[in-house]
Amino acid sequence: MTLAPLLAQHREQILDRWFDLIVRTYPGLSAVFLKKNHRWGNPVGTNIHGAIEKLFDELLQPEASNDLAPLLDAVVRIRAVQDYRPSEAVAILLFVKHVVRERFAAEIESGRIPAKELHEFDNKVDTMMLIAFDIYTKCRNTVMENRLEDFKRNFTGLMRKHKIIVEYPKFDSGTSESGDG
Amino acid sequence: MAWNVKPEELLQYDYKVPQKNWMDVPPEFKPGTWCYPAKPEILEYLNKATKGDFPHIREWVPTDVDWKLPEDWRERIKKGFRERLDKYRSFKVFMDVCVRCGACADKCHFYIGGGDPKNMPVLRAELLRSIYRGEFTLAGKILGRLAGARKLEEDVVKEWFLYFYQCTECRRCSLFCPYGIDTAEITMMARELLHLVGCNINWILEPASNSNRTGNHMGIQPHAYYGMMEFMCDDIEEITGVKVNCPVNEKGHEVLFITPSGDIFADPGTYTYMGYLMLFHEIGLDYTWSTYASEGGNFGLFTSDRMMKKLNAKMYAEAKRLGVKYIIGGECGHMWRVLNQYMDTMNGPADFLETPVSPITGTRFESAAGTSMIHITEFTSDLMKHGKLKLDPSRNDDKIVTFHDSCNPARAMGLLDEPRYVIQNVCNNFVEMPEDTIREKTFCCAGGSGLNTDEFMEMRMRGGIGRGNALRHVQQKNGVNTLATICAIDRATLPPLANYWAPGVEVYGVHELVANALVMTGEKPREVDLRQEPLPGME
Ligand code: SF4
Ligand code: SF4
Repeated sequence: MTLAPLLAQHREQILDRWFDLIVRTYPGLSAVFLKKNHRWGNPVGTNIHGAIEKLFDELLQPEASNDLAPLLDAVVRIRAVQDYRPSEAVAILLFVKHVVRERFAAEIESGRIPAKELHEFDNKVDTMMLIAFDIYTKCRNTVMENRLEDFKRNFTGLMRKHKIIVEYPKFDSGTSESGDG
Repeated sequence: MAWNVKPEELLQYDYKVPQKNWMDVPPEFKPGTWCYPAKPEILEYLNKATKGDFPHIREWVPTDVDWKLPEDWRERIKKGFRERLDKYRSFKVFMDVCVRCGACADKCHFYIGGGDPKNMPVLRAELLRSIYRGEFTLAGKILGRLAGARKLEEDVVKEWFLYFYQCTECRRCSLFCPYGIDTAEITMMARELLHLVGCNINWILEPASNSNRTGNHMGIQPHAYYGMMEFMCDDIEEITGVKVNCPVNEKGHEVLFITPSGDIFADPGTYTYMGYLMLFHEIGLDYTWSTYASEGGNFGLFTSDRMMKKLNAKMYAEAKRLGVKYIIGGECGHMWRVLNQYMDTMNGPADFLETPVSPITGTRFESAAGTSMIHITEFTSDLMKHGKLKLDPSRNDDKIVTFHDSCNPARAMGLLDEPRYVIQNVCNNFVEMPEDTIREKTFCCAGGSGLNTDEFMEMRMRGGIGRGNALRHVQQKNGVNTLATICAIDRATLPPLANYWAPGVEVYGVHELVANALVMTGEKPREVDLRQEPLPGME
């Protein structure tokens, strides 16, 4: 027996437990609310749930797809503007490790799940965490940029009028390459 | 700290789940969740101008333990509470009638985005209601907590300040309440009570104060206002080749046009402003602007009934002075709440004005008989309906447009179809966001009611998820890249919201889109839009 088929087989239970742990990081009655399947009325619950479902499937693949970062973005973007410390914001991704260990404790103990496979699984989760950390930082930066832009926006017209800011003609490189791709 | 953290330990912030009764959870002032207090010099002026409506002026910070409340703060609040219960039947009813059915609980964007129970509208109102019970009802006095009552303590004042300045008075919750309890009005009452003990925020009182002094939120003086208008006329001439007329403070015209001052200085509102100038010029409207009534917004609505009345009256005083027949109002949000819900009984009826009649189509706007003021999209959609405008919507073909219903025009006025009709006449690609997030059920931009300040950005992004989620959906599904709106606050709050939740979507005023498509008499072949970006096909 190896880990991958076990994970696939217990997908629903693992996801339930994972989401349940996430929901417990929200205060009070929210737990009930966050489990409601209202796509527009409950964007936090439905987006996070939708993302961890797909993230879990990514973890089952030998190679991550291009969706990995956008999926992590969906989770982290929300957590980054909620009332959490940075570690708390991203820790919910780590939960899946513990859920797996908890669920297959006996199999791990008895060595039926090879240590190597477990290690590989952990590595994948760690990779998710590292990407999440980058995304978190970008999100917080956006919040700060928004503050700055907000402040400037109040004066943009005035600055243009008094030529406090100069405007340059749009740069045309003549090619379609932007240079940052 | 130990290595090998166990899941239970990872969840050590389980403390977030308050095991306590909400009454025992003290308010916490974290960065980004509260707005800066009003500056003493602003209050000094306002207090004089209103003969004492803004007492107990001092420097203070919400994160301090000591808020330096006046000695008699308890009496002030109790007296103020009593007066308001007697004055407003609605307030008394709202205090008594809630059955705590919970229908409103998960309808507030701040609760939806953050999960703080005190952002559930029912609990937000309960912050006030519990004091009402504890101080004014017999059952509450005797039974205390059993009857949901509590005593007025300093922490209650702090809690009010935090949570009643975390309500954008958007009234989404009220839509779902079977009793029609208006949480926005409860918030308004709470803010009035807070003024009595000197707790208020600068982002509301400075604009209110400026409006009282110079006629607009930004404190722009007449010559500077006019200078900006001339500058815009030059830009219009550069883009279209047409020199538009720009009548200001002129007596004897038919119409006075009033719009928010945010649009004269702040992009992207400036382009909407240019749109008005172009449209009115093209149809030859007999009208004037005013540098005195140079503000459509009314931050008095977020301050107190007296401030709201005073600022609203100014528009009518100016209409009278200039001798116009009626007023057209621009793309503004809360101005229309004041107009539609309060003006008639507050300062009206405006019997020296006439029921608006469009000089171009002859349409009589009976619905505005009391206020003599019509919304620009009512006016423009009527022009379009009668085929009075020459339009080339292909000039907006680079845009896939969706429309954000601003809370006040949608819920306080029912202005739902006119803006859509206008947009669809000038844009070939229009897509609606999901049904639960538009029209009456629209999600707030999370910066309304004077909370559109940068220090509140964290909360604005948090509360912006409802709108952001729907916007990102149409961005991904339909390629939407343009968010149109008819509110100046939205034009300031939605760009950062979009930048966070749906990066790449640009915010436009509806009349900017109109002006792009408007074919003007004598115009030169247009190559660029109002933002001086190449028109589709001209790149
Ligand atoms: S009025 Fe809007 S912001 Fe205030 S409690 Fe209701 S839904 Fe929330
Ligand atoms: S919906 Fe109305 S009655 Fe029900 S809890 Fe909310 S405010 Fe009270």
